[in-house]
Amino acid sequence: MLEFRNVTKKQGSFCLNNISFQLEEGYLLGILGKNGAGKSTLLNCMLERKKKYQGEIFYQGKNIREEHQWFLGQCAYIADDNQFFRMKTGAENVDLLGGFYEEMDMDKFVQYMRDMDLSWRKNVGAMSRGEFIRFQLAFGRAHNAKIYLLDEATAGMDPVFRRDFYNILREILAQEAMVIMTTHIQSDINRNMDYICRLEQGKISFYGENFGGEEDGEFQGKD
Amino acid sequence: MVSSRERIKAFDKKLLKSGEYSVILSRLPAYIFELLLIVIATSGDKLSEMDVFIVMYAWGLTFYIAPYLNIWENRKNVSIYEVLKSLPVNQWDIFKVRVEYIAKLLLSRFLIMLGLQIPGFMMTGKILKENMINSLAAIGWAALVLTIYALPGISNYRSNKQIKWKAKQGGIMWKKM
Repeated sequence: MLEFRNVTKKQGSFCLNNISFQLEEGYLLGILGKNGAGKSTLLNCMLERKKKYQGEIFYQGKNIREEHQWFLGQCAYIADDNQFFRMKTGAENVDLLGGFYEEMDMDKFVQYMRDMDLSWRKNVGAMSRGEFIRFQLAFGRAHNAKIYLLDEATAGMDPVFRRDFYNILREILAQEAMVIMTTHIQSDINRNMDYICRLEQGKISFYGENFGGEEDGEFQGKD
Repeated sequence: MVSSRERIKAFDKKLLKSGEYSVILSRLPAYIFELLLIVIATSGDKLSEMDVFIVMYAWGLTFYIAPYLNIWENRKNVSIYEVLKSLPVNQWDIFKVRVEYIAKLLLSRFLIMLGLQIPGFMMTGKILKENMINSLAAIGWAALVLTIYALPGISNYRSNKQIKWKAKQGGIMWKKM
């Protein structure tokens, strides 16, 4: 279980204020909000090394402030600006970076890439945005990540990509992992999220289960 | 269980091996400075009279350590610290491993310099002790310059600054790293 306990983070004039929630394995949490609401800041609280936030974040009962390296080993961060060796192939990246993970498995990686119709021989820099996002998913799955942090992964993607993408996420969730993703796409939220966390000016304005709703309307949530 | 530092060393080994040709090219200035230093050390001249050269030698060695800190990709200098930032590895461990490389490199260069000065001393009759102290001073300078250069913050700053500069010069689209 992941637990945010009164997490506050100041970043210039912006302040992520008193964030508290819990998420169990097997669920997909969607973080919603306008630009500048604090969605990416919330994800970065878990990833940043300097841990310049107040409050505590616990994963599996361990405070990630104290066990940060172990925590990063459980995470798969998936975003457009994530750094990989772009002049090397997907497999070369796994070979180079996989050594930092306890459970990295090249065979699994190749299999996941094949399942998604991607070539593991292709340079990461030559991948399209959708391919790069899926490559990162395969990378995370190959080291058996338990927490997937996705920052606007589906933004600008067509409905076919998004359908396949959510099918992969469902497979991941079935393996006792959890997914936290930021998104703007209302139909994705209604159809795919198990829980919703809506942020407004750094504060949680709603957190609860998602019961779906109108395609273009507001999501139907229940506290 | 494999320690974090051993994992970093294994990563470095693979990284350098994967870009063998470009690593040799990027280290070329370091090799040239080393060659010059060997010539000077063999001639038996006092290194203390060559302050500027010693500082340049230290700067030249930064090219030797550079492949461990940055990688040249798509006309961009990408910091290795940036690539590893969301991976389960401690950045201070990366820095410590780099310092270990620097210490090994400088120790070996000191021994080479010392070995080369003995025949130089025998030929010219100049004082070996003084040259030994000067060699140590050179190594000390180089250690200081290289250690500062290998710091995570400095390396990242340098890398990002270069990307921004290149974006201005060549109109390369700058992307947040």
